[in-house]
Amino acid sequence: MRTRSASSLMLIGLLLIPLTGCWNSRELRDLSIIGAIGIDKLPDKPGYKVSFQIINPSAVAMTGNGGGGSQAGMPVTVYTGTGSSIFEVIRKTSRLSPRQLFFSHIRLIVIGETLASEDLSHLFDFFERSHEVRLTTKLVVSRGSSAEQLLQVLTPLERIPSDAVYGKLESTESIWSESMVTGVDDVINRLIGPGKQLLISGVRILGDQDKGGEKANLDKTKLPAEIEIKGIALFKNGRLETWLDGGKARGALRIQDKMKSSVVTVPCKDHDDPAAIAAIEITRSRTKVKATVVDGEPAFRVYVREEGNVGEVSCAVDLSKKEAIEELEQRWRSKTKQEIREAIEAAQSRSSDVYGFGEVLNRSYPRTWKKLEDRWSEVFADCEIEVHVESFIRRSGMRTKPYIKE
Amino acid sequence: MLKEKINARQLFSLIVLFELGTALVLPIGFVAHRDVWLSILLALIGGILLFLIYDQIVRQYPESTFVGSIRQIMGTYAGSLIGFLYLGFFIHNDARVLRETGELLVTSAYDMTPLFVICAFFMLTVVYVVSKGVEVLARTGEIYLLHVLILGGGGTILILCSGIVHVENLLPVMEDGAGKVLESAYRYILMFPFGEMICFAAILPSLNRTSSGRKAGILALIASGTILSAAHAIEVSILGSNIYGRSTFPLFLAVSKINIMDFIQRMDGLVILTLIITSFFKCAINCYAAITVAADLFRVREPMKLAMPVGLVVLFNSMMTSNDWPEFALKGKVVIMGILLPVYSIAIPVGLLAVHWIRRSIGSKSV
Repeated sequence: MRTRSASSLMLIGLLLIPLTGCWNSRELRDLSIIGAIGIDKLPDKPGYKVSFQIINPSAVAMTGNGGGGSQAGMPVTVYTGTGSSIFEVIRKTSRLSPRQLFFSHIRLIVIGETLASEDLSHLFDFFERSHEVRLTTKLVVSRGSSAEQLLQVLTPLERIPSDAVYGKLESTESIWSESMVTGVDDVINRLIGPGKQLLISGVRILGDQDKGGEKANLDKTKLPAEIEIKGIALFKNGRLETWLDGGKARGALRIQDKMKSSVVTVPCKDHDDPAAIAAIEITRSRTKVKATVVDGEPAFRVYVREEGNVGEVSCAVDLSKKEAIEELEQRWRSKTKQEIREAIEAAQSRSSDVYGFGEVLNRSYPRTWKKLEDRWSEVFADCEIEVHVESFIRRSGMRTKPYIKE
Repeated sequence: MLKEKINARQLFSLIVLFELGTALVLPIGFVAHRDVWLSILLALIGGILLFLIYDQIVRQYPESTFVGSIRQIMGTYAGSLIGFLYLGFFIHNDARVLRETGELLVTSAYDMTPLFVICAFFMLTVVYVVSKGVEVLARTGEIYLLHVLILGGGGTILILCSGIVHVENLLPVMEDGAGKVLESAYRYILMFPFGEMICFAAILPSLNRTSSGRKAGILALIASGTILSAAHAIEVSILGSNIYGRSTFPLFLAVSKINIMDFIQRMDGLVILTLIITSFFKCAINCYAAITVAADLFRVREPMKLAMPVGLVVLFNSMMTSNDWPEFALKGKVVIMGILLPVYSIAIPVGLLAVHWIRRSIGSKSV
């Protein structure tokens, strides 16, 4: 029995060795956690300039100290490298970074506007193949500045800028619905066929770009440089064609059934006073796109059904009366219709089906789609698209008649 | 030799774990794309038929092992020859399962670790469990079925709660016509994973009540087929058919997209754990089949002494079978699914059954 216990002890000892998983072990101290990547075009030769926003955990942890945080350093550091492939640049940047770059926590990929205007369809293979990078990483295009500059801007309320941009993106998609959140897998699915082209939200620096990266940027109550989510980039075959702003961007979200909530301002009364407006908060919005085929030609109908509350008025409209509500609904309806029409017009004029009409056709009429697939962009530009909107104002908040007297 | 008995519930767990094997995680719908769920259900029907054929063969000679039954049908020399063919097939199939699992683990998690180390450790555990006999394996299977169901159920709930499923990705159904769906079902999925059930022909003699074994087997196939179909449908609806068709490990990608309240994220561990458990059983059952066939052919009195040698052969075979993953995948498509599996899991068993019936009818006529 002694040999049995001795050999089983030895066996247990031997079995403990592989439990450590030594071969693939990576110590946390040896890793640089990347929050965001920025990709820019090199001005004179082919290849990319890739910037990495590396999170400095010790600086982020000292959240309580406002002024005393200067000892810990900046919450992020930005390293930049150049090369002909993204993977190459990542490894090359080891010449600058004291630790190995670690991508599992990456939140954001920023693409420079100049690169997007050329062609961004070749960028994403690395992100697909790597098992570290998640498919849920979000993409934005930097507007009016390079991605490198965007990554350098410090933000006040959220210490890690990539988290700040991520938070802004998600928040504005849900309450203002003029920008959309696009993930890497979304982009890849949209780069594949003509049936649904690419739309990416834009981000820009408001104010002085050069001051964005300084600590002094955070020492003021109103910052010299701020990051703002602005507009949606419309692509055709991987190339940035134009920017959708304001109502067009909202229309773009509406067509894709991504409108969550927003505020629509409509004129209050019949007179032309531009200051007399009513603001309607959209509480629910559902969009359905249906395809029909007439004589082999595809046509689409967009059905929008939205509900909202009146949130603010600046004229003496009596909201306790049904007629007033109906009038406002009528104006709201026409404004929604106009926004959607503008968004469709923007896409059709550029022959780029960014809203997925082709996919809708594929789902209902696959045989027609097969015939038209190769020249879908041209067919789409001439398609007839009807818009039907139903708008319902349900409530007017805590008051009925406004206190404003005419 | 057949002193050990397993009951119907254990057979059920073994079959379900075996079928889920690597088929759960690999993109077996590489031909049918969106309609993979339909192909799986179609192939399921064929799979049940195959299982009934194997069950019938084993049932004719309830006191013999699989090889013994073959010998009785075809005569001693032809029977031993066929037995040798099966031995080679089982060993190679086991090597393929081992290699597949190792490659998946290396691609998704252990990228710095040599493949040989992972395969060696895996095979060590397989050999250890198998050397204890089929009863132990079956009991372990019962327990692990519960584990896999909990992992799978939990994963499915998380997926459904995180709102990443887009059912539109499954439409339009059969956009390339029913031809592709049928081709995918009967040329590929019927072979892998349903055709690999031939290994169970070596385990079926160990059933204690043969009648409920048949029912348990059919139920197990239906259950595993449904799970596979649902899992692949979910994968396609999350990833879209394009990304699904191009990835090496679609279940991993699908689960890594789970993001609930920014808190529950990156549940990759769930998938890797499921892969390891189900592949373990697939490997172990193949290994057991190889060992019993070898023991029978070489008249070894204690079959389990062969566990370690067979394990070593399988390990080295898995290393040598291909240089890289694309070659491995191509071999799988052309050689295994194209030639070997149709022969070993359809042609030979049908032939055996046919010979058996002919002999019986001639025999009864001559009497």
